[in-house]
Amino acid sequence: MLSIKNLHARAGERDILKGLDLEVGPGEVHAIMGPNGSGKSTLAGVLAGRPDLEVTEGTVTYRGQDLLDLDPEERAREGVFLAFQYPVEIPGVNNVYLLKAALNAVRKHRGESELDAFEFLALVKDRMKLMQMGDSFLNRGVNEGFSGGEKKRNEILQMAVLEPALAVLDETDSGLDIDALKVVANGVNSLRSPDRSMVVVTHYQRLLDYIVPDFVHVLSDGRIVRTGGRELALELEERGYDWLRGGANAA
Amino acid sequence: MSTATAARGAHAPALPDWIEHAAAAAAGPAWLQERRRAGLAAFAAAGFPTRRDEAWKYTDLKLVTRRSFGAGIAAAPELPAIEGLDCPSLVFVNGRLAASHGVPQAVGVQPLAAAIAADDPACRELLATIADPARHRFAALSTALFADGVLVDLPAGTVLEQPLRLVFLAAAGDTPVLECPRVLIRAGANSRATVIEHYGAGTGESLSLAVTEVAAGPGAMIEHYRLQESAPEAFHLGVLAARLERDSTLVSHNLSVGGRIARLDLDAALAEPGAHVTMNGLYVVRERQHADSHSRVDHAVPRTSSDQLYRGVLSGKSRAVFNGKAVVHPGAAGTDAQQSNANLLLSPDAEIDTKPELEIYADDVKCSHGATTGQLDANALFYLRSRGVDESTARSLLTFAFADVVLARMPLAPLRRHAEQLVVGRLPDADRIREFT
Ligand SMILES: Nc1ncnc2c1ncn2[C@@H]1O[C@H](COP(=O)(O)OP(=O)(O)O)[C@@H](O)[C@H]1O
Ligand SMILES: [Mg+2]
Repeated sequence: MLSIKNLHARAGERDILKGLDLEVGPGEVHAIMGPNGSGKSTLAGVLAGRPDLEVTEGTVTYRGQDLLDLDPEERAREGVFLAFQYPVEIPGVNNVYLLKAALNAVRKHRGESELDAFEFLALVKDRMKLMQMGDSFLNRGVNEGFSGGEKKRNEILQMAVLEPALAVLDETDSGLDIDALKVVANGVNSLRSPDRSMVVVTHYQRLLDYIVPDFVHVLSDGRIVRTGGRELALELEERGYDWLRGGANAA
Repeated sequence: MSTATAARGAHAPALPDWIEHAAAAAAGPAWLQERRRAGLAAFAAAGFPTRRDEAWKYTDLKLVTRRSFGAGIAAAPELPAIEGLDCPSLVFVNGRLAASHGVPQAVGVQPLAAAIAADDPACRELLATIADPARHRFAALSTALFADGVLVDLPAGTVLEQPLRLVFLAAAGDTPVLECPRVLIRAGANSRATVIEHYGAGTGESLSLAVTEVAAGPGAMIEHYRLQESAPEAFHLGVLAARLERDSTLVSHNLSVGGRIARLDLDAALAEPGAHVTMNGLYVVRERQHADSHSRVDHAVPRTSSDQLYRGVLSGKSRAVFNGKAVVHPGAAGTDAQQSNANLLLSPDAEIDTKPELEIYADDVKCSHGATTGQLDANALFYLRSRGVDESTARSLLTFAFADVVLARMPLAPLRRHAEQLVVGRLPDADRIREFT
């Protein structure tokens, strides 16, 4: 599904990713953990095509094609979805219209017919129920005036409507209380399937109690310094990140 | 040299022949002739503005002064359709009444020439007394030259249930045409009306001297729309001047998308306590268009308020000017004056000169002003693209959203939709962003 080799990326004058390798197979859920500033969001941004990030070395292959060669919108249509750590407020652009445009862009790209207004609304309402969101979300500006938790739910709602092949969730758990976390995790889990892969970026292991990963990777100073199973997350919870930072230097 | 000039005497500076001709043709009773002469003299003394005039520093009228403008051709008035808007309308072609649709006799709306001919007291009392000829030389020139227009005279307590739509079209033949749309609104105590001035696309090169004067009596409420979508070759020089009495309100919506050079001078004199003016404005210019928005609010007495929101979208090699001035006069305590101007520059060759000005000579006032100029928000752009929206559509969408903040303030839905479509139509990928609106 996704193969990242020796990825180096920078923002402005600053090197952030410094030789990152990651293999994600179909249906797998990979957790990326790491201290603040280790480069997690940069990795997520590179995968989605954030224009202010420059890849200086390495390759990213997604379903057999060079992902880095695609514009952000092409990646989205090819099934890559990024749930933003900080979803952007866009007053004046209607939430539900964006959802519809996004879905129709994906469907058109796949050679499917566009949904009519009725089918679309039925789909959205169904997914909103899953995310426990009220109708009032529909006709507001994109994320406009949403609370932190509402923004995160809206991200997962978009994901549930778009049904991507590769979902990258950047700290979708941050700022959520336990009830909201369960709703979000439930939404994510309902989308798990043998041909959908997920990269779940998180700072805390708490989310992984609800979204159980197949692999856990620790990112430190732009590289993956440790890979393990679920138990690695628990170990990080107990011991923090410092022992690994040292390990990274030693390695 | 024309006979009119000779008749006026040698002391007046020479005016172009086309102005002399138009002035000679302008008729009316003695009181009007007196005002016409004064207007012409004021204009002659000031002359066409140059870049050395502070108020015209950024708006060059060379293209206007190089041309001469005539009476235009006879053309069938075509009412530009506004979907869902079915209301009384008057249509003017080249400044002369061409058609009237559903304007009831009784509502106090009549063609200005007819009102003057009937010696209507409102005309005599107010015409050319509200727009200051010293500050607005083209209003002075309009007074000298106008042929017709509209008088809206609302007796105390009158409520116009339906909007009134005034359409002005310029039809030029081989030579450029002059039109002087002239509107006078006297709103009696506690009257209410919605007036739409629609400067339609027209044909060919034209110079419009469009002057509207508003006298709002105590408690009156005027919702005023100004849609300027003139032809790309048109020159549009407008003045909207209002005098507001106790507890009266003027809400002005001003959309300027047409013309080669388009300017509006918007003046509001808040003359008595409780008077309020809202100024919502949007200019969208592209290619080599030039739009100039000048405004001035005089807070002359205690407890008046003004709220100005102007936005601009500039692309190509276009240029825009914003100059908004609020003056809080001595003793005008309790003034509330809010003003903001924001501009989106979509091309490196576009240029904006923006100058919000506050002059405060009183204590205990609440005033704020600010101007911003920028590009589209990169984070928002990336967010939309990450959802599969292509870059060009995403740009148009964000541009539209920026502009729509102003249009969303229009309560009249058919007009708001028309305005939105006008703006959308000027953006790339119009068809795709229509799906969002
Ligand atoms: N556009 C940028 N310009 C300069 N530095 C940046 C930029 N974006 C991120 N950084 C820096 O790169 C480092 C990694 O950032 P980020 O990927 O957001 O980390 P994380 O998500 O793991 O907290 C941080 O030190 C951050 O300050
Ligand atoms: Mg981050």
